[in-house]
Amino acid sequence: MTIDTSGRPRQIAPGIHHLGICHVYLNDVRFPMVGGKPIHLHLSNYMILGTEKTLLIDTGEPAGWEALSAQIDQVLNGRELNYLFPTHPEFLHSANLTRILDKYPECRVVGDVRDYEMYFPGCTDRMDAMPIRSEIDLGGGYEFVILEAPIKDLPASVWGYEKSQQALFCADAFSFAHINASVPGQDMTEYHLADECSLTTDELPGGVGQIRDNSAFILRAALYWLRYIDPNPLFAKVEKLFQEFPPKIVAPAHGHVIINPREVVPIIEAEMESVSGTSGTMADRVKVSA
Amino acid sequence: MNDPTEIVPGRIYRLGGTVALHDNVSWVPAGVRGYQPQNCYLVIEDETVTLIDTGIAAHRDLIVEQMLKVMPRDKPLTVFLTRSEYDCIGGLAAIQQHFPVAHLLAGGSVNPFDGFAGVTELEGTWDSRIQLGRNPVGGSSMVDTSKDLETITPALRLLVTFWVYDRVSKTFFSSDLFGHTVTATADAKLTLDPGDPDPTTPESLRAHMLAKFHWLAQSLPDGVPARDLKTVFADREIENIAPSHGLVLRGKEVIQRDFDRMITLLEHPWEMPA
Repeated sequence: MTIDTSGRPRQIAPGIHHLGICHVYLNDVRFPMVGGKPIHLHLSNYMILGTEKTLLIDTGEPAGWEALSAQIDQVLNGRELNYLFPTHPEFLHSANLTRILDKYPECRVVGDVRDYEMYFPGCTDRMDAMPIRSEIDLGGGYEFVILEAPIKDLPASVWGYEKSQQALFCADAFSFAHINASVPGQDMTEYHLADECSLTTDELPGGVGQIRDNSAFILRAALYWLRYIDPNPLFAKVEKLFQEFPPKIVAPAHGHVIINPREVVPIIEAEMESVSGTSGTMADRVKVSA
Repeated sequence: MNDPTEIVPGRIYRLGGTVALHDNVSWVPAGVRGYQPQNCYLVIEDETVTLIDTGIAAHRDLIVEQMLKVMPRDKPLTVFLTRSEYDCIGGLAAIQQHFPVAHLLAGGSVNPFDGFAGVTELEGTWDSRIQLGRNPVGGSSMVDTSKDLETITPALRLLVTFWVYDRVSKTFFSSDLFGHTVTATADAKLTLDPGDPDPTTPESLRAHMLAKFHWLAQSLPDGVPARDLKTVFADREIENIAPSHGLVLRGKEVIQRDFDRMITLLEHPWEMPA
């Protein structure tokens, strides 16, 4: 596996930037080439530049640190990094935490910092536990709200929402890739190709109609427990959250930035339902429990 | 308290420390106070030594101290990771500085999200250029360097997880399952043995399980995780359960009690206990 950074950093809304890398599965027997090109998997970060403060979402992994570090510097353009918001304490999302704190001495870790005292001893003086619904004023109208994640990767998973741009940062939820990489009959190849890395969903060739079936692998891999549940209560929680925090942008950790969420999210939810438990519904519980 | 805890004489030692609970551990229900052991285990066989997980970074120096007391220096050391999460990998770099790690292993998987490959890139670990070995998909289910340690891929998990079973001591290394106990004091006994007061109730078990496996309340009634766990226990004689968190459960009476409670919960996780 190698990494690719093409197209990033990229501003996706005023003051909001898409950073990060793609894993490139070159000459990997698990993931065949498509049209002579290797397939990619996003590992994304996002930066919010308020007029007073800046905030980075997730840290990426060690293999991508050099690239991400350069991207952060490019986007900050001489400014300080003030806040680091890890969406959850999983390796791919938090492994560069100490590196970021070492490089940016003003930076403080914010959000759900349970577990971090165990995992990053020596950094606790740089951590501020913030409960769900805490708001961080970044200046210039940029306000970042910490939200409970209805779809969690780990118990300490959290989402974030920037109010002025209506951007939702949803960690491992709503991940998908471009269908042009799909190989018929092989459901493990739903990745995008090299020149599509930084495209948003409204820029993808073929549009959102081709998202069907191409998020299934990511969902099965990243949200394994979906296969055991009825996902409809989760969808209801998501819908309720969307009503209170309506997103114009949904920015996942894995997958393209979603600029048209009202079109895309239902398609991904249909994929979630397709990989979720299929042997019963909530109504069947009544029969079992009776 | 700071010494290794002998779980099976001469064969299995529990290593690690405890964490004071003040709503600072995400897999412990809110409001629970006391202390929770954070565990990794040293398994000493005739020809080899296997360290199952490496504990949390906050305990890395303690784990090294404990290993220095019990680690045979004339046998190669394998580190086997049950999960790539920080409560399993936190001590790896420190351990590598003090002990030559001959092999770093995890179970088999084809999952770009499982994070195991990235473990070798952690600061301190990268310096040794150690490679992570995986069981090949469809290949042996044994830990590669052991003749008695079996790996099991469970149905009940959050992130990619591998359980381990020691056929000699009949010890089940359950990773983040069965980690539902806490202690009242920092120096409390780290094992739960027959005759000890039972610290678990159906309510406390459900609370701990929902704190960790948040999706359980939305489970469908087909009961796959319950059936899978039943199969694991039916196919093996289990006399000790050694989890990543909480007390080590010892003795058939203790094991059966918590197994029964766990199955009851997994079969009806949406119901509050009667």
